[in-house]
Amino acid sequence: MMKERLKNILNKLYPLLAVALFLVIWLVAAKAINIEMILPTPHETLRRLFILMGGGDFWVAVLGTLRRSLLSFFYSFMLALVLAVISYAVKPVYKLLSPIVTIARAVPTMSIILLAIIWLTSESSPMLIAGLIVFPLLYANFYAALSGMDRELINMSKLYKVPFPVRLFKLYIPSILPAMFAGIKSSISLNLKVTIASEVLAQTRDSMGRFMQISRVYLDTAELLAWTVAAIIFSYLLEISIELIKKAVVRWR
Amino acid sequence: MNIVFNNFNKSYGDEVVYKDFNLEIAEGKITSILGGSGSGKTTLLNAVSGLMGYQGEINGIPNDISYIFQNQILIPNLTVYKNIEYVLYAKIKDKTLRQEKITNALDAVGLLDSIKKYPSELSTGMAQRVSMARAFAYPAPLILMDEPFRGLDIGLKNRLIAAFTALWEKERRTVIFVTHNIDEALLLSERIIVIGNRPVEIISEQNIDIPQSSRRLADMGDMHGKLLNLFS
Repeated sequence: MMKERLKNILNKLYPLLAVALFLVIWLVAAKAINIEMILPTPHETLRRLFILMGGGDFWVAVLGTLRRSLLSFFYSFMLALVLAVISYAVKPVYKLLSPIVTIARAVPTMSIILLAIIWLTSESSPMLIAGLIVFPLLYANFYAALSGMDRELINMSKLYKVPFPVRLFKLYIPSILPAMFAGIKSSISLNLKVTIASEVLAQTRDSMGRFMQISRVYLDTAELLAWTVAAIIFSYLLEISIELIKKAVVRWR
Repeated sequence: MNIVFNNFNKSYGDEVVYKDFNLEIAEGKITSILGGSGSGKTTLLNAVSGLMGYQGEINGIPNDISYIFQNQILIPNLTVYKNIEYVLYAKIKDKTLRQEKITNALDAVGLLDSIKKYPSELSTGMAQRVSMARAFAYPAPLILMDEPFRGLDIGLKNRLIAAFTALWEKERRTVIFVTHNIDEALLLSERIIVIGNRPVEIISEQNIDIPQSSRRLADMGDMHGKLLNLFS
């Protein structure tokens, strides 16, 4: 019992220890280099982050980036879900989509970013880019979740002649939810990263990416790192939100 | 209506499992198909249930069939109650009637107090009792059983057999029970059909007139011996 409790406490401590270790290495490196323009100390970065958070521009940029990221994720999610369901039900669609999805995965992210910037506005290009990057991952995840559904449960439903709407809401959707949430959790932070990367190059108004680019131009490394820390925090918060939604929805595990 | 296999044929690739196989299953009785592992018992059930194609004829299959599987096959995200309700939506539209059916079936297998539990919270025996309750709550004249007691300890198996008998005696539906276990066949069935060889043949048939509720294995030594000899 005591051993189990100790193990639980240690499991919770490991992430904190990892962060502490990272901060120590960062601090030692910053002290060794001793040039703030190249590598500021962690406390200087945090100080700049708090200054940024006190200003209205920070929140306008954060909200703008989150809006674009979440919208593109939503569109990508819906498209991936619909196409995965169709692919699962109609095998030729799966075969047709497979090479397209493979190409979408293989195309270098930077090529997509540069092309989208040429073709679209600075506002819409980050959304398209993030959506395109995340789509193949979500599609593959949803398709695998559908294919991995328990055949015995499906056969049992057929034997007992359970109507399709009942099957859909009581069996199919709940069966794929755990795998879907795992896919969503891993893609949502990637989506935010790609959105910010595209904003840097597209110079999107009211975006975290634009402020990062401005910091880089002025060689304000502390502020650039402060924006980076902010991006990590929001990415983490998104993942936590997904985990909380999963806990509320997937109650039977 | 009796279920009649008429020149039933089934092959897997080049391997002929059933060739011109004939059998009649009596209505309202428990018929056991007894055979070794891989003898083709489950193939018969899959053909009757429509899960598998075949050549020849099987007449008298009702529209609705209940199935008790070897594994319990319960939906993990639904409670015990909801697992049974899941198969009843199309058959019993009235919610009160549905509720009555489910509680009666769960009461008969002694699981009324587990109505809100999820399958992950049930033991193997409890899950198998839910599977039985589901089969009996579903208004089908035929129940197919695919070795539902396999891998269970003797005590639990006896309790499940008693629960099954109690449920069956209330309604006396047609049951096809496939098993490789002589004791299970002796305790449950009114007719035992022993199958073997390839293509499958009926090696022996045995009728048992003693009511299930008063059967004791100790009193069935002769029949047990005869059946055992067929496998040695």
